[in-house]
Amino acid sequence: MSTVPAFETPTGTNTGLSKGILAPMLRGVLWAAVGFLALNTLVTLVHPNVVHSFVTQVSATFGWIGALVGWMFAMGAWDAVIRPSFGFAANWTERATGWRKYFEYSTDHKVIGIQYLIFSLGGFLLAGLAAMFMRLQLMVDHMWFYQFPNAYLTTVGIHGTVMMFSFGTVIMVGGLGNYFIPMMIGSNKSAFPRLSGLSVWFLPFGYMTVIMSPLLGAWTTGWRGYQPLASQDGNGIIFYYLGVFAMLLSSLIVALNLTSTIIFNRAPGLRWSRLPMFAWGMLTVSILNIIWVPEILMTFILGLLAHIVPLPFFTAVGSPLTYLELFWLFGHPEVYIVVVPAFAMWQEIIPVMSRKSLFARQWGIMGLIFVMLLSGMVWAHHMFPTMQNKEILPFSFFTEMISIPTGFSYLAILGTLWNSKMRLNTPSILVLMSMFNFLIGGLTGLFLADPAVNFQIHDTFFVVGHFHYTIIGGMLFTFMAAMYYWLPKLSGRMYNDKWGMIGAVWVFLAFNATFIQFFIVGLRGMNRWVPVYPQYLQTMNFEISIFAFLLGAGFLYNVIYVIWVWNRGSVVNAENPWNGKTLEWYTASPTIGDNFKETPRVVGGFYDYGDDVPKHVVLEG
Amino acid sequence: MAANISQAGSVADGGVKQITPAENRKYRAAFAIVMMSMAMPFLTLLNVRYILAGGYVSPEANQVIGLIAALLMIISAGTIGSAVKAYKQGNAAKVQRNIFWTFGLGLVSFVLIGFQMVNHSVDIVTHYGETFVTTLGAVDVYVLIGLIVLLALRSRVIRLWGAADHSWGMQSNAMFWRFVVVVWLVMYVQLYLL
Repeated sequence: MSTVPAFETPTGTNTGLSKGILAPMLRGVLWAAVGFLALNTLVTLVHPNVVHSFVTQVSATFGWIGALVGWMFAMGAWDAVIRPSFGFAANWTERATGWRKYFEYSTDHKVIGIQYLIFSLGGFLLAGLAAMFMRLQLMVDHMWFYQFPNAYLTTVGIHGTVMMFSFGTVIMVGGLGNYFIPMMIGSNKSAFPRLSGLSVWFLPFGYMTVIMSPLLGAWTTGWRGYQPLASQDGNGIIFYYLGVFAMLLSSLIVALNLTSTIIFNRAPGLRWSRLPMFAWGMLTVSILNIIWVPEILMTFILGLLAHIVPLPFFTAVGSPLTYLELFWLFGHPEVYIVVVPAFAMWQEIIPVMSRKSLFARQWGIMGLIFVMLLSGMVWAHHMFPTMQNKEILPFSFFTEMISIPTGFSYLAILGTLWNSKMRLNTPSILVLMSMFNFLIGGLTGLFLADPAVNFQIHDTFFVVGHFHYTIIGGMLFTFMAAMYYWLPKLSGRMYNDKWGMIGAVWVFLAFNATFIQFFIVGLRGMNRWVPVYPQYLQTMNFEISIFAFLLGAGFLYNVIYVIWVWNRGSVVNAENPWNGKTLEWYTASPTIGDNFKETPRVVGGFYDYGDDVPKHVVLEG
Repeated sequence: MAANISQAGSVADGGVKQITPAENRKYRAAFAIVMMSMAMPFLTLLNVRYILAGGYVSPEANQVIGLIAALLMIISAGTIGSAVKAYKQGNAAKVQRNIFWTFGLGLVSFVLIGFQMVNHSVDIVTHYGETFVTTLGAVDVYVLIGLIVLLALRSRVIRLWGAADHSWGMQSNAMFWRFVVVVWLVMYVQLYLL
């Protein structure tokens, strides 16, 4: 009797919970509803409020926990994890083929990676729709699309929260990281496959909780969940705290899995000095996640308790600033969790496309590590207007300094490009676009790090422009580059570079046209988190919105094109179309089952190009 | 052929796959990283406690109940270690007995900690009280997870004795349970004594 899930055979069938007339995700929704009703009813009976309503703050919280347990059990936790843990046979068979395997529990890191890509992209599109609603409202200077300001502010919060916690920190780490890291280090599996298989199902549950938060009431805090502001709002903030809790649990498990995989599952010969750049990026980011995500999880619990009990942690008799400190201790490393994978990816793609050795590779690695270290020392630059001058100065110093290790990535790329014969295709162009955009974002960050300037532009659209340039401009463009770079490996199909370039240029022009104006409109006095503004700003806001709609259409074009290529594109005529040297290019395209039939032994570096460079990988039977 | 060392393993008599010492070291190190992560919420709570309430300890905090819970947890850290030793000796009955004792001691501690949280002789709408009740709740969540995992271990050992290698399961349970004991002791000291 095996307690390990089996893989599908031609005659095997799922006999566990997965068997039935309902698709797993529909069953998950049903069990979630049952779980919510059960616990909500129980708590309402035991702990009624004065008006004896069916749903109260406390019952909604416990009901959500019941819903989460029901969802996870239905998605495979019961059959594939809990029952085997108690010594019962695992009556669960994982599908090996077909699209349905992406919508049920799996322990295959490749399937999990694609699941993360699918769900993260779903969050991106929903949060993007929220952004379109925001820009609709901001086209004119008075309330029109929304009837009440709090409805607009709730949309702002949903947009930021879902973008940051389900897309920004997830798509490269959970999606591409889960898929490619085991391959890139020469392993057939990740360190914690069963836990990893569960982790992905927290993600859609989490962001749907946030998206459904208006059912409980409005919330005006934005993606930060600031206390005591949140406790002055309606009850939607409860689902903010709980939804983000679920999404962050997902990210934490991914981080633990990737860290352990990179440290312990490397192929023979893959010393630390030979570790791929993307693996360094994932490792540094995962260490940040491991340290800071549990801290913010506890902070959100405190915020939730402050709202529903209520407890005076952050009120005037408590310490309002403590919430800000606790949040931003996580919040700043969070943005580096978003963007460090991009720095690593630049150094992955450019040597391959330029056919030239990565310049100053060790400095590139040190750049990633020092960004990781310094990211924990700059948090209070988000709170300058609340601080005394003597407290501000050290944070201003470290914030300016963090630009130096960031610059190492730039210098490594510039040195690699120098005198190279780079192929200007969609992935390489997108990397260059990303570097251009992040440069603007980074330079505006230097202004924001200066206290005197910060006091003028804090809480204006200048800040919004800055972080959209770093996050979209840095991470999202690089994610697009990575998708076009790895699309032949993921799907076994090749895209047409002309259509890829059209998508890249479309998004680049629309993005810059939209967000460069944020700096201008911010300097002219446009505040954050306002649905209405002075009339003199209307013309500019109107045409910003037009460009934003074009940007949204551009993203949709790229998503649709990549999906189309995945299904209908021309079959790739080589396993390694770019002649990349990292280990994932030694696998089949796409890879089904084991990544490596023969154990790879690494005998050289992955980033050395030239006529006389010896073989760097030997496959041992 | 395994593509990396983590998939290797020797097969002992009876065809039960045993984990190698190298694998065991890797699992322990990886689990240590997991536990480091699990300690972070308590560092946050410590932080908040001292920011809001300084070193104040309310005279209404029930010292007797806190001390009893701490002592029971310390004893349970010993019984889980005895369970691991018994497994290495191949003594199934002793393994089950020691897991049972660990579970029982943990359950009583869970109830005692929970009792203080629910009964809260300490006024929770005070700086000390709010951190007191939150900390007890967080500890109890970890104890509850530890209890469930102990139940799973006992069930698995009973059902699959001889059919699977439980050495890592025993070790990881012991590591996690002792981690929970250390967490409670640290929280106990800072809530009741310092």
